[in-house]
Formats: sequence, structure tokens, C-alpha cells
Amino acid sequence: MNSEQVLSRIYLRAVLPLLEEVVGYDDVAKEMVKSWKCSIMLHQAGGPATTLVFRNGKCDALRRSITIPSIALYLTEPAKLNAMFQGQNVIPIPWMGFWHVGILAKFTELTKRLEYYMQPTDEVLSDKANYAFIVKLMLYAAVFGACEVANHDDHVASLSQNTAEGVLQIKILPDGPAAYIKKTGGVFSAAKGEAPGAADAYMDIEGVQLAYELFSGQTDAMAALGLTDIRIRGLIPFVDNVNAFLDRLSVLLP
Amino acid sequence: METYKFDKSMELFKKATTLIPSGIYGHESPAILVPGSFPYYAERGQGSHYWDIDGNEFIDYICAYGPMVLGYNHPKVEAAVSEQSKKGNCFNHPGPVMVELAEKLVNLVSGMDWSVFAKNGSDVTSWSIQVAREHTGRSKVLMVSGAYHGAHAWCTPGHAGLIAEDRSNVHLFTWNDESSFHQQIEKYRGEIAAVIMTPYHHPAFGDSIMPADGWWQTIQKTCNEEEIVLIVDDVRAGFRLDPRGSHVYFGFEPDLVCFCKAIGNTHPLSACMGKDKFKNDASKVFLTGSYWNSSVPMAAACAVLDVMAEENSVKIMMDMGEKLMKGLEDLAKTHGLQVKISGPYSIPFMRFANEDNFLRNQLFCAEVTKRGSFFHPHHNWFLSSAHTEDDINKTLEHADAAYKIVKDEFGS
Ligand SMILES: Cc1ncc(COP(=O)(O)O)c(C=O)c1O
Repeated sequence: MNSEQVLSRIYLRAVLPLLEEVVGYDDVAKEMVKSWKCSIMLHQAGGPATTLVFRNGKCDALRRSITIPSIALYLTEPAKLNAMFQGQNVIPIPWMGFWHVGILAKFTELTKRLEYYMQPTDEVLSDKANYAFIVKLMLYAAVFGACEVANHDDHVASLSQNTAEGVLQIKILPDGPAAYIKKTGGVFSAAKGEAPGAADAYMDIEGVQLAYELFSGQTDAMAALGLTDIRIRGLIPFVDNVNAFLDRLSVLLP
Repeated sequence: METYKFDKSMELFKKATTLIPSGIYGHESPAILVPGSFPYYAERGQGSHYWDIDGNEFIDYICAYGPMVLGYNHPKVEAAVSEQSKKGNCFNHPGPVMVELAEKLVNLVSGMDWSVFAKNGSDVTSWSIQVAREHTGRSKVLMVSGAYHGAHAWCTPGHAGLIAEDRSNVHLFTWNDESSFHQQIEKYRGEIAAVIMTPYHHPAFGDSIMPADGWWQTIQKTCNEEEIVLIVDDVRAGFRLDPRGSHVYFGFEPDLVCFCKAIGNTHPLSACMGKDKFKNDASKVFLTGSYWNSSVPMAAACAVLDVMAEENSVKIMMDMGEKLMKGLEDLAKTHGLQVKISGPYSIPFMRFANEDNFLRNQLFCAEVTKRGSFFHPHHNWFLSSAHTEDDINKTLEHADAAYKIVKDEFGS
């Protein structure tokens, strides 16, 4: 796949689902969605879909289409989807449920709350709870984004093919958050939390600050490994390859 | 037993990280060992032992990743070094020792008629490919998937700083898989300048794999028929299997051979040797470096070759390696653990047979190292001719304690 196509997958499958977390954490977002009872599906033509299901003041992100969403936003090309996520004025075609179009304006407001944390001001970052929350978003975006890169980006195709099957467990110490990346049957997938059973590779990151610096490219990871602030064990080539996918992710995501 | 601490290593490393990207980079980066359980900085060495900056003493089974072959601070080698150092190292011209060394090598290494010198393995693997391209007028190179030929852009295992063009003429095949080799030969027929291979397959994070019956004969025959230059990268195995070249050990005849590591017994030197018919091509391919003609490492190499012949270093390494690996295998059994030994005894590797993720090996090698025998969990080990039976016995004691810890932690 070309870069635009991979990027649109990243937006749909790694970035958009973060709304799930935002709705669980952010008071403004909570207030917005408290009475919502609807599902919003974003679908990129010939590509992936993500559906956000709102009910009981919560948001569940499904990385797939559903048969009858309340509203379906259809983007004809990856470039359009990417432009929309980059804040440009792209109007997606609601091809189902256009009678719900009023929700769209509200939904746009909600996505601004995601942006609030994904591109935080210094003031937002200075709050300890916000900081930890942002690190959690970064971790989830990283693991899900890395899988989209590994599965679809031509740039890393041979590396991804040559990665042995296994599970990499990533944890931010002392109490999480955690997430894992798994390769089975030749396909990479990610999930939040701890993998059931033993993993093949482990990466423990000492504290949220280091995690923030790592995910934002502000730390020398090799040095941090030597200092034992980041600890890896097990199938190190798996970690190494995921690291290459993450490097590629940071090139793709502006 | 009180196990080693590495406080000074860690303290110095902390400072290093403020001055040097990664702190320590490349194959000696602590990141690819088990950080916190291994030394970071070496202070001095003697024979098969070295001391880190915390004063911990290690029996060394990594041997500077290969360059130490006769023992650290070897008296005959160091005498040659100090004699040459008194005269000088780098001049406007090479020293006469360059010719002396070339002559020794040509007389020693089977089937090779000339030699050139550089510093590192990568210098000569890359240069040998240029010679093959000059000779054939072709551009493509075949290499074995997972093989290491150095840190230059065409072959580095790293990911960063590369562009697609760096690898666009390098194609992979699978070790010991004739159909994978022939597939590439057919796909790129008439375009392949060189096949570059190590004498046996010694990937990091994997077992060493010896050539299957007939493998080298197939490779050589095909290369001859297709007029492809066959390059042996003997940088790692060279002088540890057969002083005449590892191709003698495995019974085939390459066109060009690259050496490094053992040739200088820790003094920086590499060599590329070739058959007569490539000499004029070699002469045309520009080859130089600020320090590549330095005399001291060449004087060291002359002494190394003499000592190797005198003492039959390869046999000592093979014997000591055999004692070590059989001892490790037997001990594992007494603990109810299963290990897999691979590679030749002079360059052996061991991992636990019931895992592919190296978790047991990381714990085992860390515990052995913290007791005074340096083992690497992911990279083949090296013996030297300075290793003694006493060393091996002591190491087996360290291994005994470490196996117990693995058993307690993993159960099997
Ligand atoms: C087989 C082989 N080839 C080439 C090289 C590269 O040598 P150097 O690190 O001296 O450039 C190595 C180094 O480990 C090696 O093992």
C-alpha cells in the first residue's frame, strides 16, 4: 500500500478509536455524549472502517463496519480521509442515515477533545493526570499504529514478513498502562492491557515521563536501555522490528 | 557466592550517554545483552581473562567478538607490536611489513594469490563486491538471509538512515536451501556479479547451521557455470576452523576471501585475498583509508600467523570448546534442562532447546557472567588458544549455579 493508504488506516484504526479513552476521561467529552445513543461509522472506500458506538455516556470503538450504523461517513479516497484528520475542511458523504446529520456537528466538536490531548499545550501537559492520560493515548496510538504499518506499509514489508511470530508486552511502570502487539498467522494485531499468558518479549518503561519522551522521540532509547530505564527481554528482534515500525509511524503521522 | 556488581560501569555509562549517542553503540551496546547484569567498560586483559572497571574478572568466551584469538596481551604479538611502534605506525608510505604479511598470507591461505589490507570486516566485504562488479560488469549481489557482512548500507541489519536504493541490488536466499538459491540465480541470470556467503551460517539470535552435504559444491558449481564471483566472508570464522581458510575446512574453492577479527589478535586489520584472475580488477578498484596502511597491526598479524602455526591454535580452540560444550550439555541434563549446542567447537553457541524467545538463555548467560564467565545469550561464542582446562572447569561451576537458577525460575 502507498503512504496515503497506510496513513488513512492509521487514522481510522489507531487514532479515531482513542475517542473511547477521551470519553472515559475528559469531563467536557463526557458531558457532550452523556445522552448519545447512536453509532457513527467512518468508512474509507475499498478500505477499513471504524465504528464508534455511543450509549450510556460511553464510547466503544469497533475497528470494523457494522450493518446499520446511525450514521455512516464515507470517504472516497485515503487522501480525503487524511486531510479531514489533519483538520482540513473535507466534507464526507453521509451515505446512510443522513437524517441524523445534526449529530455530525456535535461529533466534530467531540473530535476536538481528542485533538486537545493529542496536540496538547504546555498548560494541558502540566497537569499530572492529563500527562498520564496523554501517555496512555500515545501508547495505544503507537501499538495500533505500528500494526497498521507492519501489515500494510510497503516500506517495511520484508521486515514485517521476517518478524517471527510472538507477543510483545509493553508496560509503563509501576502500574501501567500496558498494551501488546502480537503476530500470529502472519498478521500483526494490538490490544490494550496485558496479554493473556506469557509473552515472548517484554518491554518495561520506567515511569510516564520516560514513556512520554520515548513516544515523542525525545529520548535516546539505546541509552535508556543501557541505563535500565527501559528494560527489554525475550525475543529482542521482535522489539527491534516493532521499533522500526514505530519509526515509520512517526514519519507517516504528521 | 557473592555475584558481581557493575556500579562503576553504570556510572561511567551514565556520563557517556550525555556525550555519545546510545552511550555505547553497535554490537557492544549493552542494549543487546541483559543491561545491569553485564559489564559495560573493560579495563585490561591477560590471556583468556579480562577485568572490567569495577574490578570484576571474567573468563572471556566472546573474545572481543572474535579479534582475541591467542589471548589478550600475548607476549610474542605484543613484542612485535612494540618493536614496530618504536619505529612508527603511519607514514607517507606503507612499511615493508605489508609485503611480508602479504607473502605469509599468500603462502598460507589455500588457493589465494594476492592480498590487500584494510581495517574492518565491512571495508573488505564491500570492496570485494566492487571487485566482483568490476570483473563481471554486472550489478547484483546474492547473500543469505540473516547473514551479517558488516555495517555498510548494502548489508547493515539496522533500519535507520537507509534508502531503498541501498538494497536494490542485493537479493536474499536461504541457507542450505538449493531451490531458494537457484530461484534467485534464474530470476537474475546474467545480472549477478557476486554471491557472498559466510563459510557456515552463524546468525545472531539463532543456532549456527553447518553446510548441508553438497551445499558448497552446488554453490561453487553454479557460480562457475554462471560466471559469478564467489566471495567467502571469513571475517568471523577465519583462523578458527583452519588456518588455510574456512573453505579448506568445508572443502570448496572461493574466488575471493575476506578476513578480519582473528588476524590481528585485537590489533585492527582486515584483509581481502583473491585468485590471480581478479588481480587486475582488484588493482583498478580504489582502496584506501587514512589508517589502512598502518604498520603496527600488520606486524601484529605476522606474529599472530607465526604463533598459530607454532602452537596449532585451531586444535587448542577446538579441544577447549569441545570440553566446554560437552560439559555444559551434561550439566544441563543433571538439572533436568534441555540445551541445544550448535556451531563448531571453536565458535560454539548454546541456547535452551525448549524456547525460541531466549528468556532462559538471557537469565542463564547473565547469571554465568555475574559469576565470572562472559557468555552472550544471542551471539555465538568464541574460544581462544589461551583458554585452559582450568578456565573450563571454573566456567562449568558458574554454569552449574546458573542452571539451578534457570530451573527454579522456569521449571524446565
Ligand atoms: C561474518 C562477518 N562479516 C563481516 C563483519 C563485519 O566486520 P567489521 O565489524 O569489522 O566491519 C563481521 C563482524 O562481526 C562478521 O562477523
